[in-house]
Amino acid sequence: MIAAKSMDVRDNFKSWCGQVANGEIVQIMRPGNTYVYLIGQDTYDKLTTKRRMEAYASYLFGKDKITNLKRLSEIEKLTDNWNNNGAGKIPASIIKSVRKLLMTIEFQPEIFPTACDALQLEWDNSKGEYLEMEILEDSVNVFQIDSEGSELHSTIEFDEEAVKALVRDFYDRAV
Amino acid sequence: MTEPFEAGERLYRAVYPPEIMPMFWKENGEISSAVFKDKRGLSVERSGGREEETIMGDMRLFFSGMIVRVLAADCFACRAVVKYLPTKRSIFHSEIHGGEDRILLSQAQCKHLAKSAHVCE
Repeated sequence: MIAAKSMDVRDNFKSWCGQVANGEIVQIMRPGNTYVYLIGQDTYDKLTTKRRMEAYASYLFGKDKITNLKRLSEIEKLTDNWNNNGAGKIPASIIKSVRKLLMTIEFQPEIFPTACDALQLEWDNSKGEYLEMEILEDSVNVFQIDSEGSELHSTIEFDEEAVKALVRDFYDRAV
Repeated sequence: MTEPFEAGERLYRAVYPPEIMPMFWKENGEISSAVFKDKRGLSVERSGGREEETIMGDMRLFFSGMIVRVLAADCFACRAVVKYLPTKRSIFHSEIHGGEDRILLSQAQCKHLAKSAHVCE
């Protein structure tokens, strides 16, 4: 690394550029013990790769989706007896179905494991209504509370399009 | 200690180990009703005339993680049944059942209890 003062820049800039292009870094000292660095393209790319990847993922998926996919990965790692009371590992088939759903569903839920070997998805809309789906291996228990407190239960087969339609309807009602 | 439970009796449940519990907070600050879903039945410790500090101390001997409290009245309000089922470990052990003949709580009952639950520090 080349350490320099700002007053040196004018006279040395051209030669530093040549050195920086070959991997050198120039550290230029400024008032108040602050520094400016002259770095090459390779160094810049290395420093910004992670940030650019995160920005790209955020652009593709949106923040909630990333949060949910991370949460799902955490849930996937839970082993048998994760609640110290005999809860089983959440079945891989449920994780797989929900992961696929999360990739395409417009309104992201909040996700929770249950000690009934299931995943619970929850949505709350702006009217104070509540929608819950308990995803089991062979079915989905749907529970809704409307803005007047009325409750509705149903059980459906896991079908991605049917789940999405229910969620869309839930949010459409709040408009 | 006998049944039936008085409406004001407090029921305590150790919910999850500390490393797991953060998964159960909702974005709006409430606890998810998923906390009250357990295929083995919802075990609780009844207060049985004890102060909360004593109850917490007793429970900490056997459980790690967060402890939440509901009232028997909260269970009655959603038609859940509180059964006094003492064990060798604890004479205060009880269970909240979905009904007289149904161990599992319904989704609605779990939601009601989650809304009523108070987190004990």
